Amino acid sequence: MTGCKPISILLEQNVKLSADEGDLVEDTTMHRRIMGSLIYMTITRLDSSYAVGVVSQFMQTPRKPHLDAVRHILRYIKHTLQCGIFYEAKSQLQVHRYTDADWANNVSDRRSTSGFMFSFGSGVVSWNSKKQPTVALSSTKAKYKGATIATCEIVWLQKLLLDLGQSMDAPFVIYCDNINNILLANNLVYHARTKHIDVHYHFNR
Amino acid sequence: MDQTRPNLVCRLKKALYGLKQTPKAWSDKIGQYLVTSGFQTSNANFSLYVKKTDHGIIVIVIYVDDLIITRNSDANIFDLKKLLKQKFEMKDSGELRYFLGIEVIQSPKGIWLL
Repeated sequence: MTGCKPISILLEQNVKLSADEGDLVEDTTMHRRIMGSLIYMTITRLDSSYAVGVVSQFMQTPRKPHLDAVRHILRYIKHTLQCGIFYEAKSQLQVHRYTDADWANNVSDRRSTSGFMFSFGSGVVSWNSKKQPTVALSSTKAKYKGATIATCEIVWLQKLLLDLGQSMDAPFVIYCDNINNILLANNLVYHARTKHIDVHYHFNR
Repeated sequence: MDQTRPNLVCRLKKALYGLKQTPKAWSDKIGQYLVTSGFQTSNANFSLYVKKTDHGIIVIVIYVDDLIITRNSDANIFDLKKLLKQKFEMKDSGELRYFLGIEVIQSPKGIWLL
């Protein structure tokens, strides 16, 4: 891979990887070793955490398209070797939270993937991209579940900040791109129409 | 083992290197030492120790036997480092450059993580 051409895109758009298409990869050990390194890399490289999450779903029986996707990520890494997280000394210490989710994007089990990101001052401190454990029946639900995961993280983050003597007087600023979710979080009046969400957490049993 | 008394086993009085109890014994030991020197264990992360002084706070992060020490202002960490060196066999590697494969670049403008 040392002589490969750098590329500025992580995953090819509209390519849906599936578990049982394509030829099997011969050297699975090598594949898993690369995956291990990529997963470790997401500790500082949040941009790749979604892509790595996608390809790491096929560790059991890696196939040719999966290996191609991994190579694609490696070429992107080569393109962005100089990138990192920057915590500016003179930045306003305010926590911003961003969450989003796709909906039923996984072709084999139709589960959604959600992610969140917290920035503190100028740098990012905590992020996550994870396939949700249950099937969501609408994008609102998928995003709402994602927001729940992020809220759990907030609780922990607040504790951590408190321990570091940084009491958060200013509220956390939350960004979310779904108007339904914002209404849902602000107003309990929708309760009758959304209380089945907790029932749907068990939908795929 | 004593050939004449094969039924006898040894009972260890200390946590030896390589035992599965050893990591906990070590973490207890350094934790206790830090608590007695005025640090508080963080509830959010047990490997994080914080000491609040009049001049600011000192923060220690422990990864097995690697310690990152930092502070937010003039809080004195030189005495702390001296005390730690007296108590444990330690080496001061200076400013943080690499930690667990993460490259750290520090400047007056801020901190980069690569």
